[in-house]
Amino acid sequence: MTPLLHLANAIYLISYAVKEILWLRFLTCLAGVASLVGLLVASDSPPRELIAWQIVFFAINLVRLIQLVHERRPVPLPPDAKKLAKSVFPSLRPRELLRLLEVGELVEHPAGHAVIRQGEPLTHLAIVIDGVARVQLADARTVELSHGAFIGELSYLTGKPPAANVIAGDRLRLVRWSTASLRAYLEDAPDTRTAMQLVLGADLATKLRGAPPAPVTARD
Amino acid sequence: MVVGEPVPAALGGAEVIDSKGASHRLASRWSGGDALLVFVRHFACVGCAEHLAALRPRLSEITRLGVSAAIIGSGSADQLAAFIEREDLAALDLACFTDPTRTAYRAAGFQRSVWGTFGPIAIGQLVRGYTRGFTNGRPQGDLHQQGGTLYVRQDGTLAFYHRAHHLGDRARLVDVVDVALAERARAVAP
Repeated sequence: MTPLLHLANAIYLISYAVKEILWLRFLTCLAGVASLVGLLVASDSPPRELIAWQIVFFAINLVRLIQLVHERRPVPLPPDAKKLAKSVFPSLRPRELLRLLEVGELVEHPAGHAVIRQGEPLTHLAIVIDGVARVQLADARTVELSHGAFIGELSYLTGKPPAANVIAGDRLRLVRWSTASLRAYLEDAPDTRTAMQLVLGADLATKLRGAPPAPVTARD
Repeated sequence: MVVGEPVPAALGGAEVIDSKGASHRLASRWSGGDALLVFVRHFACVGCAEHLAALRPRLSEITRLGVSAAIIGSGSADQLAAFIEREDLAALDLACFTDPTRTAYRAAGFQRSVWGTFGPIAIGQLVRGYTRGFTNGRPQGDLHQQGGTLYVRQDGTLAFYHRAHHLGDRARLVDVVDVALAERARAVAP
């Protein structure tokens, strides 16, 4: 056995102790290269079948390594996504957040626009990015929702029509998801689903405690 | 057991015991609010240790919604006490009980199966559990009793039901949390 084959096996041995998948792929690629070169220089007629299998293993590991590096490459977040990452979804990786936002759409409403009408079936969930939305409660109070607050979350969770009107207080920018698209997406993205549950749960726990999500003002 | 229907009276009336040997009617778990009940196979089961590890990080999310959570096994009170210590459960917001007579298991419709313990899927799950660092011990409870998960509303109706068919078969936590969110949201939405 050539020193290169010993080196390859030593690297394989180290790779068994590595828990981080990126390093594991990197080490197995490295060991694969050392094995291939070792086999080629070991004799004048290197075993073709063995080399062919080594090439297959190396190619699989290399493709997975490239995929991992690509997935973990830092992604620059647009300003809105950056704000949401900080305030609403701190547990999501930037790439996960971008995918989640791609499922939705960015919408803008002028001041006074009815974002949600009480009693009308609601088919979307939204988060305020900029501006203020006013929730007109049945007891004549108004709750103001600002950046990071959900709109339509109770309907999203219960499937019931909304129990209050929501009006844009000023120019309102939202990221909005169709309920069906969001549910379908979250079914295939368990980490994002967990993050969404965490945020919705925190919001709901606040409501259950009776604390308003934003300052309450008397309606004009 | 039908989701949306009241749980059987036999389940509500079943007596479970805590680690000190005190008896509790199971219905007391949901008389003050919604309850999540997780029935495990036996206290030294590899699949149940894995289940508990999955539940642990999501427990505070569930309990902060006002849902009480309980885990129920089938060993003795002493075995339950050892389980609580081994899994470090005393600090968690999780009530722990045991049902040595398996009255509650039967009332909940959970199955008892040798195939579920020794069948190929169970063996596969056992190996998977070991590869993830969980271990199996000598049975502490009924070896062939399979577990399950229930979410019972305060009014005694069933909101979620999962019956395990084999070792390692458990309800997905994301589904359980979804149910808790939906149920508690109904308490806020008029």
